[in-house]
Amino acid sequence: MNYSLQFGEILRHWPDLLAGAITTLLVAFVAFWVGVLIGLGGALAQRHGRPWLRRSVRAYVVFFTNTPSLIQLFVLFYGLPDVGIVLTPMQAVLIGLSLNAGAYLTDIFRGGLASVRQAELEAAATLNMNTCQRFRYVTLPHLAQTLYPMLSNFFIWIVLGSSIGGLFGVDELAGKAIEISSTTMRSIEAFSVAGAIYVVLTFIASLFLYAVGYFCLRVRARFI
Amino acid sequence: MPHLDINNLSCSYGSQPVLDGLSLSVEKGQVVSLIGGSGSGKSTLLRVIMGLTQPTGGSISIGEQAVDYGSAASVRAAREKIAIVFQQYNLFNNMSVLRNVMVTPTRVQKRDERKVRDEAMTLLSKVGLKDKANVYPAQLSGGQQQRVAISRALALQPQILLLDEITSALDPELVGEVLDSVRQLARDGMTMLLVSHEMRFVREVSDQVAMMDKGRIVEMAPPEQLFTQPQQPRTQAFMQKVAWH
Ligand SMILES: Nc1ncnc2c1ncn2[C@@H]1O[C@H](COP(=O)(O)OP(=O)(O)O)[C@@H](O)[C@H]1O
Ligand SMILES: [Mg+2]
Repeated sequence: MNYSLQFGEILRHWPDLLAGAITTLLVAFVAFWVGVLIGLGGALAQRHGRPWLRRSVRAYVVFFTNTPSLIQLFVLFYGLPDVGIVLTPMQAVLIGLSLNAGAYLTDIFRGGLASVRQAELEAAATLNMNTCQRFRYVTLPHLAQTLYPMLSNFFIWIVLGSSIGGLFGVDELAGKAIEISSTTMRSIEAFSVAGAIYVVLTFIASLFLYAVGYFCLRVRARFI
Repeated sequence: MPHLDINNLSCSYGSQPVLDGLSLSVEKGQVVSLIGGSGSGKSTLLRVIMGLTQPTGGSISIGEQAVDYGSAASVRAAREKIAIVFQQYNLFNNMSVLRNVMVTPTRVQKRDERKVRDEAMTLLSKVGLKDKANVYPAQLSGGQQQRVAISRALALQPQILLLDEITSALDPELVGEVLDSVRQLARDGMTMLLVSHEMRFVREVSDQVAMMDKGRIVEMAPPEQLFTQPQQPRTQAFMQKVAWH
């Protein structure tokens, strides 16, 4: 049991790790924003849609929030080719994570929509705001402000969750760590360095999100 | 020609009639106050006028223009002429005071931002809130919020103003400042239809007072007459009750 830690070999791969970290942020960013769009649409559909639409959205949410995202990605990546749809690892991971995020965010936004003050919407109507303007000036700012802390945490959660992409060969941070560990045979070092980079990433992201919330939305979100 | 003419208006929630063939007209520059017990349909009347609740019968005209509440364009045109202030202020909590006042003129009416800003600041200083322009509603007292709501309504340059119990949610010491703003508007010749339980104020500011009961106007008269010699038993009973307060 005389294992001597040697970080030198890992750190020599810093450009790879940096590229991986950037990919991680990009994947998380895309999945988050696509998820936000799906979530907003889903929540609005559940609130205002016809019964069949409401039921379909509910089924989507129940399915994606009650199955492991690993299984969802397996279906996309290994299952879909059986019906002739072949996705690259990156495509499968982006679609999978976005759909997964969309399901959670549908539930989050549904709660947010329910807490918009009806009286404010009525006031906006009497001021002649149309449906879009009411959404833009009343509903959306309310959602942004009340849900901001939850959304910030959710983004961090996606940054970490996107590491699942490494299992499918996506070149994000975890994927790079897997690759480096197999070429250098230095698993402990490779993964602990990757872990440390995740800590730095989430720290920077939290700091950034905190500043945005504080200065743009008057939100005092939890910071670390 | 009345400025606001309501004719045989009906409205019901389900099978329960709330407005029952109500007729009322307000002349240009007049202040008409609605009084009456809780549940008599006063708020519903104002909501119907604003197009928030659909009437089931009757008609409303603004000047010469009849409002068709089935038509979005017609309701839109009506809302350009009439503004309402609610009991609970209903300000946009996510916007500063100034933006609350400016958002409709700039974003809905698409008027020039700088000009609107000047007008908004003038309106806010008239109600004594110039120094609160960049504050958010949550940081204001109820009376201050209500005065912002009045400014927001006036920023649309309405011809007619509806006020629904705008002092009922306020602490007694804040009522005066809001009523002062309304007095000023009355002096400036704004046509107003208001609901209030402040009987002394109603008596002082109104040209006509209408007593409402079960969705109808049971009696309408100049304030001196209605308060001192009510003709209808329902009005007499109501006056006796409010006299105790
Ligand atoms: N949204 C609603 N649904 C059903 N009934 C309502 C609704 N709003 C008001 N009502 C009923 O209509 C009647 C008149 O209410 P309202 O116009 O608010 O009276 P007021 O303002 O004179 O107190 C009341 O009996 C009330 O219970
Ligand atoms: Mg009322």
